[in-house]
Amino acid sequence: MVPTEYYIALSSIIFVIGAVGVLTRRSAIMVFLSVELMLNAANLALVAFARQWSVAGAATALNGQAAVFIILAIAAAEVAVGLGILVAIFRYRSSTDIDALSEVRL
Amino acid sequence: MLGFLLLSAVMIVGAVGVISLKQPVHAALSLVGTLLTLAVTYVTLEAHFLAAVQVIVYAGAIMVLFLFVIMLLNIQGGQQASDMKWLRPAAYGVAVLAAAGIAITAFRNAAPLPDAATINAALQGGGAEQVADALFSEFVLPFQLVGILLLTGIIGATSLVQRKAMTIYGEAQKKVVAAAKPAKAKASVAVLEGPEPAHIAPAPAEPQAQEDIEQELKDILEPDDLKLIKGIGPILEGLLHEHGITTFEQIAALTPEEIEELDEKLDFRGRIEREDWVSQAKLLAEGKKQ
Amino acid sequence: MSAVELAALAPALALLGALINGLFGRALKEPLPGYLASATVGLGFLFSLFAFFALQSMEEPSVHIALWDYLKAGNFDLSLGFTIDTLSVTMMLIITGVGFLIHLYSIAYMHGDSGFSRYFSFLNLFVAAMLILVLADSFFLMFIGWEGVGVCSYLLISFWYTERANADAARKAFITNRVGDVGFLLAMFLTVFAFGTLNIHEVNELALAGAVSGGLITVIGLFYLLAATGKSAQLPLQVWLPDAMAGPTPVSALIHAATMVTAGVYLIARAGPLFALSPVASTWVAWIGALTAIIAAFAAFAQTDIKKILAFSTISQLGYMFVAVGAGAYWVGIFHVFTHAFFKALLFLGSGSVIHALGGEQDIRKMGGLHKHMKVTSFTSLIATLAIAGVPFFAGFFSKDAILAHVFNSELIGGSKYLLYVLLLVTAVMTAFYMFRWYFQIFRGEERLSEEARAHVHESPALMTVPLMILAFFSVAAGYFGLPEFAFPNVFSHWIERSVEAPVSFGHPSVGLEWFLILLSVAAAALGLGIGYWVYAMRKGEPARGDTGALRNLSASGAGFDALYRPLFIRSSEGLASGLSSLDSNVVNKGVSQGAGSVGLLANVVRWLQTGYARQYALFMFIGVAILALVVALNGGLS
Repeated sequence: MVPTEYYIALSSIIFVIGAVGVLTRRSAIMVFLSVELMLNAANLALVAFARQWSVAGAATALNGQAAVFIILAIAAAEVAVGLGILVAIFRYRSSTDIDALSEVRL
Repeated sequence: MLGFLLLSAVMIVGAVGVISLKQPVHAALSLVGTLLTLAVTYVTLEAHFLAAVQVIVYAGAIMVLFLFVIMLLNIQGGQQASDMKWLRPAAYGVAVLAAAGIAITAFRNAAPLPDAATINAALQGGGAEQVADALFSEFVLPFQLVGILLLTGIIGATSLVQRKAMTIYGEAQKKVVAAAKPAKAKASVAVLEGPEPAHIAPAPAEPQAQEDIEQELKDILEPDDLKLIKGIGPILEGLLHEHGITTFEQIAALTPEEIEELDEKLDFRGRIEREDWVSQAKLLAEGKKQ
Repeated sequence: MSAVELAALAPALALLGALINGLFGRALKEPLPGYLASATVGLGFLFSLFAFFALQSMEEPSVHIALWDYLKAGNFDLSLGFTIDTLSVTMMLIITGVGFLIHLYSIAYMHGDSGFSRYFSFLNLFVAAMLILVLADSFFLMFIGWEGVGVCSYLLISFWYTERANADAARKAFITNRVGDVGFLLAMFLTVFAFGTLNIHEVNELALAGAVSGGLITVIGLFYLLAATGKSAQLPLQVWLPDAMAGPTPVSALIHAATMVTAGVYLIARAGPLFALSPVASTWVAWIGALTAIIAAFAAFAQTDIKKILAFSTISQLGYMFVAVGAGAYWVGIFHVFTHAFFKALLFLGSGSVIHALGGEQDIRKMGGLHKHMKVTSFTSLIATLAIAGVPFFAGFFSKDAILAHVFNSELIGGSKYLLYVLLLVTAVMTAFYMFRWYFQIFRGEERLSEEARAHVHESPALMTVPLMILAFFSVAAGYFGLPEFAFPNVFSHWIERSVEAPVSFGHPSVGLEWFLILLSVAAAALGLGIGYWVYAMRKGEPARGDTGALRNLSASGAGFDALYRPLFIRSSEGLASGLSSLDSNVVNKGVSQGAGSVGLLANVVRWLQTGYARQYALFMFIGVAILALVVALNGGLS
């Protein structure tokens, strides 16, 4: 079996790729897609940890997987609201360029 | 190990595709590929239920939603030049550092995996039954909270996308204007065809009709407190509202025939005349103007 | 499923009715939603009756029905379930029985209202929530029902929500109740802290076993008392009930007289052993009840609204119930809930019949002489008036006398009990007086109707008068379940005490003294009615008109609590707000503008960080993540 640290390394690579996407893309929808990458990277780490700690006693063995399930649900909510905001912004300014939305500052 | 490396390679290529492809649709499809590979990786980690959910919910439902929005808004690729050129190299640099930091930590803290028998006994393949066991015992509260969160998300998304009442009002007005236009055109055609005065009459009446409709809208939006009229209680007020009577002016303008009709319809037993609503309403309407 | 367990279906039935009416009510033709709603409650009543008879023959008269394990964390276990025992079945019978009659009555009363199905949906929802409240096996589930009835009360007070005053009244009721709810929550937290469970039965057992110190029990009891004062409109949270009369009259009868407002009494009776172990908390309960009783009775004197008089009377009678449970006589408190439900619902429904007949008139100065126009309403209202005034052989007499006797004999509340007794006796005189005024001003004496009302006046339809007659029958009969214990068999006390086993004892004075106490309460009722007769029948209300001034104003304003609370809470919070605002503009702002000069320098440095570009902010976050990861990695890992 592949040891856990390899999965963590893979997870960290996917995570930073997602982060780079968030930082470099200007279209809001692309930023969103990158955020999904980051979320999934975290999920991968959780599932890997669940396997690593499955000795600790049967009662807690599936905690990692249950947490991933909950994150999935949260991601669904986040996507629904996020895309809703996106549509609202697009209606308002006919663009999804997030750099154009810089007047939110103080 | 070979399988893992293969999966990793596919996943990383897909992820890079997500952040580098120009067209949003391509990027989204690339993300679907990454997520499917991730589902396979879940299988290698003894999480069969999650793998299935990953395919159905993530790669399926959520990504379809993305594609819908991309196509709905018709978002195209192509970027204008950024005024933050320094950001890209900075992002790459920080990314390498962060990934290195996490990977080094993972390898330095590497612990031996439990043997396959233990893992099997504990996870039992991570099937639906096992995950449900955890969700409905240890994780009930988070589970419930997520339910509430999803509900809130639905309401939030709906209200975000919904148009405001003002726009609806504005559109109703537009419709009024649009309805007035063809009638006007018809009237002017009539004028050209034959100089019959009776046909011309509708033309000046048009703005009148529009005003009427606007007044009606206003009446519905700003009702008067009809209960100020002696004899009208909340029940009668409700009945009047149902028949479109919401303002003092409307009551003041009732003709005797209309009163009779209303009386009959609403079973008022002659109260309108007995209590003299009309003159009460006249007084109140004058008072309102001042 | 045994007959007892069938009763657990009653809330579900009412909920089903609420759902059907709420979702499809608009599609149903008018009387149908009303009959549907009545049928669900009537069926609930039948089930409760089955349970009632089944419990009679049972050795251990308590059935527990587990519904759902809501939460398990460590050794804290929150499971929801119903307890069906003699106490909860009694409350169920009141709720569904009186509720059924009021539902029927409402079909006629709400005839032609545009919100007909909405009304019945809310009413059914209320019955469901109230049944959950009384059936709950834990404080937690009880709290769910408690909040449920609060919401329904809010919805129904503001039923005609287009009128500002109604919406305001509903909000007042809701907000005042929140104060009590905070008490309930704190009490629950403390209960978990002290007992480790919220199950009422377990809490009572543990308390009786001496698992928790007396001081803590007293604090918990006082917080439950705060909760009870909110829901049952006792001092100092009584201000919402008179305003709650803005709702439709049957609602006032069901929610604000017969059932919901008695929830506080029920709560204390349920937690009886807890209160019995804390003489301090019990004394508080009794004193709050007695003071509320006399102040509300005083406030009823100068009211001119037909329903407000009854509202203050309800507050006053609830005060009696509080004194009873405070004195440790839990069955007596529930007994008064039982009899009061009949005659007070009857009084409200009678008022509703009058209001209906006069086309919405509520001012008793514009009534009078209605007896000859509406014989049934007048006659049934007379029975209810005599019952509440405490005239012998009517239901109210027996329950009120039981309260007085038990306060006199109580060994729980110590030395102040004789003072409490005198207060209650005076209140009894006042009650008889204002209730005589209420009846006489409406149904007897000269007619003072407006022209409009005179043309309109008529006896109400059978759908309204039949419930009146049934309630009138029970306004007499209900009392015979609880005859004075020292001389007669008393079914009610044995029945309730099978569920509430609290270690309270009462003195047993000589039979002569007991008879003397009964004589005293008869005399109180006679005195009150006599004064009423003298003032309103013989002198045509002249003595009451004579002395205007401060006292009358005080009574008319509900003993001035609104006037007191306005500066105390509303104005003071406004004052606090404006004070803070001036503090902000004078001290904080000045300080800030002085400091601004130096901050300006710093600002120039920070400005390039605050560009407003989200991506740039994200980069800063990401840099933080990288630093954290590197620090952990270079320090040799996590362990």
